[in-house]
Amino acid sequence: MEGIKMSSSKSIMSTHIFSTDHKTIGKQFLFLGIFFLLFGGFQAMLIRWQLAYPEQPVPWWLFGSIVNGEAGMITPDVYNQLFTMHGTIMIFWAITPLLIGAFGNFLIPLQIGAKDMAFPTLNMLSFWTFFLSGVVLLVSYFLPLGVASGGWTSYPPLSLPAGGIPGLGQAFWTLSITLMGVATMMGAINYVITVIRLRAPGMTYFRMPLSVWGLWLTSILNVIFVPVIAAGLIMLLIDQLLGTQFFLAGRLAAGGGGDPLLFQHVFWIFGHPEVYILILPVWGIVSELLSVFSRKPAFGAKITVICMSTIVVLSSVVWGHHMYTTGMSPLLGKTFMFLTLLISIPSSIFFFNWLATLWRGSLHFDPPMLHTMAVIWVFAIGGLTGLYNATVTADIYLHDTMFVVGHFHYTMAASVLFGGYAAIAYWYSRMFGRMLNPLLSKIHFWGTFITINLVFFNMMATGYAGQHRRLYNIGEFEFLQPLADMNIFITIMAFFLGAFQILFLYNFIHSMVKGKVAENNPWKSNTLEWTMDYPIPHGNFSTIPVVVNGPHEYSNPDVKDADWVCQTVKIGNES
Amino acid sequence: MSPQVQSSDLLQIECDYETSKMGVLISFGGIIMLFVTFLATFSAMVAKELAYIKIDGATIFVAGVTSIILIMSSVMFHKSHSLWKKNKEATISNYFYVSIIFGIVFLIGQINLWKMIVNAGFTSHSNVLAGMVYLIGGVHAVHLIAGLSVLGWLWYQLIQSRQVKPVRYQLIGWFWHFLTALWCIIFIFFVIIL
Amino acid sequence: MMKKIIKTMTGGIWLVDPPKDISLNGYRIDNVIQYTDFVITLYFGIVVVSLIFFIWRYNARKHPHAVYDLGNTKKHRYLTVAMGLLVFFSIDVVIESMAFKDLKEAFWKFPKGEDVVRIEIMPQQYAWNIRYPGDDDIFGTNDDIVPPQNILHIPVNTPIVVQLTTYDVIHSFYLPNFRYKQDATPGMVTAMWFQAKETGDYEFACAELCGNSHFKMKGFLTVESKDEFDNWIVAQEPEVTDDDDDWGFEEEDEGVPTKWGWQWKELK
Repeated sequence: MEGIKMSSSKSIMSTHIFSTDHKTIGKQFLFLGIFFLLFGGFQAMLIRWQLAYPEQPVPWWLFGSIVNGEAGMITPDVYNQLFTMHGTIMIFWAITPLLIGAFGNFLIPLQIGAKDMAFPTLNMLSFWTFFLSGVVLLVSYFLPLGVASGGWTSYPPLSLPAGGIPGLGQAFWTLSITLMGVATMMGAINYVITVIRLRAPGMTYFRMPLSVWGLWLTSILNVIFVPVIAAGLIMLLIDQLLGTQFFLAGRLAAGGGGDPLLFQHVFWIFGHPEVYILILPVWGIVSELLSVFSRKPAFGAKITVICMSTIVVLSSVVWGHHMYTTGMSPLLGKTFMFLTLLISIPSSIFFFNWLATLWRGSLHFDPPMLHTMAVIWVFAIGGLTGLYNATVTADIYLHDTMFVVGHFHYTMAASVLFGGYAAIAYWYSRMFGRMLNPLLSKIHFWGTFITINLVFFNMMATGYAGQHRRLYNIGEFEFLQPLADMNIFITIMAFFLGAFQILFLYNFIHSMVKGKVAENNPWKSNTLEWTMDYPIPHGNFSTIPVVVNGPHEYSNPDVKDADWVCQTVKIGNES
Repeated sequence: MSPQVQSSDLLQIECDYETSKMGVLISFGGIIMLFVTFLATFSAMVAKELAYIKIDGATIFVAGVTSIILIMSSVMFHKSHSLWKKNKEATISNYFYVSIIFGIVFLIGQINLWKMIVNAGFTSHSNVLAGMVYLIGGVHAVHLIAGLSVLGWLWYQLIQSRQVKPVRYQLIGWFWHFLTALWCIIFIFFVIIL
Repeated sequence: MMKKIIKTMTGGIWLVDPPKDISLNGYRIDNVIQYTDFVITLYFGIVVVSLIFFIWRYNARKHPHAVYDLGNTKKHRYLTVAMGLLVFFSIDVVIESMAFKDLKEAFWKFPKGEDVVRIEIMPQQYAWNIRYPGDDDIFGTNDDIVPPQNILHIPVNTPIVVQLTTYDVIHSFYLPNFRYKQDATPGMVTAMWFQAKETGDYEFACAELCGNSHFKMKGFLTVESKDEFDNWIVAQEPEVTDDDDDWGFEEEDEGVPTKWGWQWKELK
């Protein structure tokens, strides 16, 4: 059994480095995630440079000297490494720690009225395992023959020695993701059990804030599917290092060989739920914040929960839509298409609930609300453009083009980024006791919103025009020449997008020391994390609260003098 | 359902039996998913006729014997647990020692089994099905070694006459029984499929 | 004005045009894309208009008191579910039936008959190997035609069936002007078919990351009249099989020494 001990000797080690307090661990994930977000973002800038100006060396202001020493030219192998590591880092080392690691850890115990996670020591271990996985990944940059360059999907045989990528970069990649998977499992088990077991009295499942629902459903998916990718990665790893041939076929497969397609199946059986893992926390947070900033209950909250849960179930049977062009049997293709399209139903229902929450509300456009509404915009585009890819025939054309890249950046990058910024802007005062500078926040928001749309919408356009993926130099093809200007435009917008994130970083760091000291509940929210003083003490609540309301009792006519009421305060009529 | 805790000064807060039990069960779910993936991939390889593997009678016999030894190990552990519960003392019974020894014997048996299959000509380098057999057995063995380490920890606690929380003894047993059951399922699966 | 709106909604929203479609069936893909363009522009338009309206009408200054509405009455639930079903039926069901129909009538309906031209294509790191069966119409015999790498000629208005595989890593045979692509995976043979409606010179590319020169895997497709095609075939030298260099692999080895190639897989 784990216990939460108040250590009498409060060394830096036990309170900051190896802390078992979920709030500290959450902040550790936040900082690590931001570091990797910047690293991955920088790689994106280099990728865009190469796509727009293929024959020119990277300029000084983009740190060209890092690339290839003084020459600054990105070579084809380095380019392949760039987009491989960009994708890998953003998905596993930026989004995962930011949304799931940081906000999962910080919010779940507070919002359900618990003193900490169910297994605090396991929690601490999950962060440090995660940290270790990041170290393994970054260490691969010091390998003499380079880091992984087989794409974030790492399809064999390309990612095997037989594919021609020299050195141990691919093996380090595989190992680091496996380690990250172990860390994720530890965290996911913790979150799932904590929600089931440690809810405060009166905190029924449907009185939990929707942000907890999003994080909980994500964790359930993690528990089920991370072992699947772990199995696939272990097989890939021993193919890479020990000479087995699970996924090797072709000339170099001695005596029979295996089947590369098996890896794709295992990868995407995990991979599709993974994209829902990445977006579910955002769905939950957006549903919650829309309610807070409209001063109105989340419309149809129960239905939203049911929809999110349905999507969780459906996400496990649609993986084939990533593999339509592999030559699968027609019946399989049709089945995957049908099941994928079914997801439209719950998605549009809870999207409609979002809009209905705004309707007849009293909208306050503070920075968290700006980011939240941006999620509505970008997720609409991202979700709707998914329809093209779900259709087998359209996907035959659009698969492996920039259209897909634009689509998933809308759903994974833009939506998650705005969701993350909304969460940071909203809960910053609970984490650091101060408010982010609102003016800087707004400038950052508008800059990001405008540029992100210009980048990824046009990216989808280039894909529609036939530009396929992972190209070092689009100049090789005549049919891509008309797209050169558009690629340059996208790159310039991407540079501005990057620049605005520096503004966020400055705001984030500066406000920690110089920001306006925050009151306990600046957003007048009902949920439990706002009920105590900052800094939130170890153990969160001196007495475990007793919950009597749902989290969305805003503008309840039975509440006098205020348009909000804490979940622990009785109202005239129970809802 | 959830614990009612009231304490103004934060003392040791014990997460209770139910929570620990649930945590362990969920981990089992994760491990099951790991092996389900391995076995599903194995089945797909068989279905696609990527390789052939023939296990002779002697090997199956040895595999059966080692499996029974593992089952005995679980039974022994269970007996040691019952005895420990009854006595409520930090005594360490012979059953416990036998359980650990049988576990180690099982592992040695596994290594021998793999040697036998390799000598029959099925190496992991040329034969993907053989590779899967070694991998699945190997991953199971790794979990078993983890289990043995935990048993070793328990042994140390008992030897030092330290108090062991009852739930811990029980859950360690669960983990050990889980690994036994897992192996039996894997073994039967191999026998049926091959 | 209406015309402009409709043009913008049906493909104009992408601001650029896809490569010229010279294929028999590519229009089907363009149609389903354009229909999707239309409906999702409509729905997104509704979302945008709603957002703007909400921002204008319900901002806190203008609308200081929100209406307390949990949205959990039966009426609300039916309404939201109805919205979901409306979206599903207006977009998903339509594009699904379009796609199923197209797959059945065209893409998965492999042409049979005398005038079908069969080609085996084997991409490698980093070039396209192409093989025609020659006069005897059997692959893997002495009269196979293997043009120089990356050169693909096809006759116009003739069904072309292609089988694909590789021996190193996964590639993808991508014909932008036919809206088609198909992966080539080591260890398996996949098949696709297409037909050109006009002549000309076009490009094809590899659409699955295959290594450092993936971006350079350009192929040259020439679509010409039947006569020109026949002349071109005759002008190619048949593959010489005295050469013992078998760096390729053989799918079904019948003792016939070939550089590379496989027995044509019979398709259902």
